[in-house]
Amino acid sequence: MRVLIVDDSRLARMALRKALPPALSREVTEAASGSEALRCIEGSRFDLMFLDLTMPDVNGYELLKTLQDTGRMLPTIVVSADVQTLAVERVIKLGAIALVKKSFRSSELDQVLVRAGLL
Amino acid sequence: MTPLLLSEEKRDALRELVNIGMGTAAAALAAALGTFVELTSPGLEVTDRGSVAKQLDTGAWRNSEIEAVRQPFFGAFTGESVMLFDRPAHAELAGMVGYGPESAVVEQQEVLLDVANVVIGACVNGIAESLAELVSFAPPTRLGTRADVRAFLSREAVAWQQGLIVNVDFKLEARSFLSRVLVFLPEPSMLRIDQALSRLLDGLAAG
Repeated sequence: MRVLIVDDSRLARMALRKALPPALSREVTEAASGSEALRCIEGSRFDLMFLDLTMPDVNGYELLKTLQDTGRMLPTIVVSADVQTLAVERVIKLGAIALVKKSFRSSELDQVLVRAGLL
Repeated sequence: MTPLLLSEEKRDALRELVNIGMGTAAAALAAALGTFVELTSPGLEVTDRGSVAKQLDTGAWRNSEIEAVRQPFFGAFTGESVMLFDRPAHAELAGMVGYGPESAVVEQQEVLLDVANVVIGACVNGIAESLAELVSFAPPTRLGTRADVRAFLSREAVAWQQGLIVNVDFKLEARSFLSRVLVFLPEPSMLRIDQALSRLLDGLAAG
């Protein structure tokens, strides 16, 4: 499974990569911004994207909207510190599978992946 | 004294810890204010005391009337935090928690104290908890207007030489105002955070 991690923080990308189950950690690409993620998606096929919402150029909402509008949506799990009820509702409406709160445990991520049929 | 400059990797890590704290603050504010809070990626810079005062004379803050709230913190690391609001924030925030447009200044200031308490607490705790450290807070108090902030920044009693400046833009849906959080850390606290960040990053790299 080819995985794309999109987050402007290197720490967050490292933490997520470390938390990934072995089945998902073999082919991982990292993007440090929404615009870099768009370039990755244009150039390669990914089976799953982990997406931060708060990024300085193209934020997570904008990236989801662009992918939805252009028919390029891929299975996406939002990983964000922003856990407002409305934030969860909005990302789901924009096509994300789930929102996982940052500083999660590996077991929490596994549960979301199992529920989504990705593990 | 040679200023302690965090490496780029540690600044990135610290920015992310603040970001996590701000997410918590946004959720709390959204629940209290009944609206969606749009967050931007926090800007973070380490600078000296004089530069902080100069920043209040630039950009959008230059011509803004300022109301400031101060909240010291203690524990694993000690410091001062100040949250700045521009003038529209007073009535906007007061209105959102049910005070009418004619609400008294004291009521509007009370709302700013509550908001600052949530935001500063989340910001500083975001750093402390992620580094497995513990801090406690003094109650927030009104610092005053622009002149009072200047006086505060120039006081020798404020035991810091470098400031960790966290710029946080809050946008409430269909409303906007300026707010900024300043977190000031004296040299020993900066050093402790630097060491804790080293442990955090080493732990991740070892995995």
